[in-house]
Amino acid sequence: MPLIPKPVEEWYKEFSKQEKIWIAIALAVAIILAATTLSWPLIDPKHEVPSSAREFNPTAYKEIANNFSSIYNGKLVPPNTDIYIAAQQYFWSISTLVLKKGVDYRFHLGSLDVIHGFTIVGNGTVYSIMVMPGMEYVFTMNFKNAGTYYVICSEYCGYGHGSMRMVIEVVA
Amino acid sequence: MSDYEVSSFGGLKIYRTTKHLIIANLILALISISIGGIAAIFVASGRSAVPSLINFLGINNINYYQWLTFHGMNMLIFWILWAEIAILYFASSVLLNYPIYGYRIAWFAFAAMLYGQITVEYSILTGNADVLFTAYPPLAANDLFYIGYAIFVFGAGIAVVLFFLTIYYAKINEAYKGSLPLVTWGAAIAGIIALTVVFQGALTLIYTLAWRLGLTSMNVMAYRWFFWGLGHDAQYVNVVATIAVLYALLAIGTGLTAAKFINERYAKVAFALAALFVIPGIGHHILVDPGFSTVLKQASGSVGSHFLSVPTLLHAFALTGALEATIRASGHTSLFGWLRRIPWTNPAIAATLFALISMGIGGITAQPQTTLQPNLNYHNTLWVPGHFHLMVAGGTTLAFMAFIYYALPILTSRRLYSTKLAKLQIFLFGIGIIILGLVMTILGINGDPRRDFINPSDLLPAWSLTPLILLGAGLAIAGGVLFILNVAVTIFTGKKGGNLFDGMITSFEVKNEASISKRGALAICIIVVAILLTVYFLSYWRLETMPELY
Repeated sequence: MPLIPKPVEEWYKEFSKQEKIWIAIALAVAIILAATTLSWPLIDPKHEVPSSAREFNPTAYKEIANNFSSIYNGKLVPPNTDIYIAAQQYFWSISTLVLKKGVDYRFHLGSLDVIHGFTIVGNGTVYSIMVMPGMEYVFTMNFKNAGTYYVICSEYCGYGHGSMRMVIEVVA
Repeated sequence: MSDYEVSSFGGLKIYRTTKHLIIANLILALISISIGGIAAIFVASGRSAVPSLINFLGINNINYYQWLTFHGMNMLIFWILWAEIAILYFASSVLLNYPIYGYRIAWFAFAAMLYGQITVEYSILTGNADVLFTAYPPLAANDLFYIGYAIFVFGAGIAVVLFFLTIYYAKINEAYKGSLPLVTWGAAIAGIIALTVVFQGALTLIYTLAWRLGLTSMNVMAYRWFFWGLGHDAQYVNVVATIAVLYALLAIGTGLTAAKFINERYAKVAFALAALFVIPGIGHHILVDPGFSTVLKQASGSVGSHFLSVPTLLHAFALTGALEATIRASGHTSLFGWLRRIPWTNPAIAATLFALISMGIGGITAQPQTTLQPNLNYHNTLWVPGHFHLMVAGGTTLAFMAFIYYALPILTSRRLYSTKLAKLQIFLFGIGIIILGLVMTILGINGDPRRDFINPSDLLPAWSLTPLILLGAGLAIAGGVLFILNVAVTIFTGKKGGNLFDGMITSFEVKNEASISKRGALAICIIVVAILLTVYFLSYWRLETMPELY
């Protein structure tokens, strides 16, 4: 019994056929899961965790992000324009981002103070990535559906965390 | 060396020093789960977004995070570790008939942990540590929080070392013959993982303290990596300890009949695999962090974690198979006929099955969130706490509760105060946590963020499901209260003598041991795996419906 010490002969049993089948299935499951995620870049490289990131200077980045916001807040961002967003306790550098449907936009995302979370919800979409101090995340997004999307902060950043919001309007 | 009593259960020697240590650890575990439970009322009410309740309890955006920190630290660190150390002492000293090696040092470890816990509780209660369980810098608590946390972890580390020394000295002094019992083997694997956790935890906390004192700059990414060496690998300690406890529960609850049908070699191999695969698991916390390479994310987060599911799957079959064979041996031959004969009124069996169901669901929801690409849709949503409540509350906590119902009478020769309450408690807690986990999972699919105190339904109508959190949490809290009362009354006023496990053991008459099959359990396990794969591939399909992101 599993609670009492006993000699090896008493517990060292051959695996039954059913136990062997189950080992094979368990290994197969792990291999299927691992193979799927490893081969995903070949299947669809456009739904993938972005891998481009670089260190940045917070002061310089803040200026770029504020500059971007002062030009484009609430106005349509033309294609081929890089989007710069800075997160900070307790707001995003831009409050309303207007984008065109079906266009590739390059986003830059970084935090000026603590860790924040960039979560987009709305129209059946849920995406979350981390916003780090000192590390700028660069990624491409293309919204296939027009509509209103909300960005919330999803990493606890202090008492005002819950009110940290931004709107993305995607227009046809 | 004659300072022991012989338990009427299996003639185990209960050393007085061991008994006192285990009971002291259990009392602290009870206090911690009580505090965590009170915090749970505020966290669940706050997150339910029912305005009248929030006003009544005076919850706001400041104290909500304080309660959340309080809940996380007490449940995930204090309750679990106190209980685990009691279990480690039980699995070494009691099962191997040998007193705890260096019990004075064990009391020192106890004092260190207690001091650490009081310091952390004080920091949180005075509002100096509203940093949540994760305490990600550059957010910072006061210095005392990190000092207390480090001392607690240090004390726990000493206790784990004493557990290994007890096994070693029991062996060389020939207190036992043959191999380690399966439960002690499982506890030892949990202990090995725990040592790596203590090391990484100490590293993280000392580094953070050095940063607080201005001795070093803070690398946020390094913190996140090493913190999860503490925060997540500790959960593998829990999973392994839970499974060791489930083997014990299954054996005791069936009057040792199931022990005949547990393939201990199979279980031991699975335990060993868990230790082998555990370290890579850190990576699934940094899957959407900038700065870490995709290779590291895949190796450590996704692929590493997928192989970690192999040992858990093996245990799932070993446990359900042993239960099936036990019932089948008493004369049931159809594929699923034995399911109708499951003794649900037996606390050990009910707890084992609720824990397996809860961890089964949690194991399924674990897959999308640990996989690089689908995790984009679940990261930092309520899906994640949905998963870990199913694992740590529905699995570990429930198993530990049931284990305490059986270990306490063995240890003290006192009968449990109320068997009926124990049975009711397991149903309330098991069902409550499963409801809570499922509600959080569904909210998570719709992107409702974790770690957030907002009125959720104002953004998305799908988030208006939050009041259902109260249903699951309410049942679980009611179950928790019954557990605490029952165990506390047993410790202080339990009746001695008589039948130790009156109404807590179900006997099975073994009629035909030779032709035992476990095909029903195999079929159930295959169905669960089919659901797991379906959920996994559905999550990829769902990713495809979303905007492009790369």
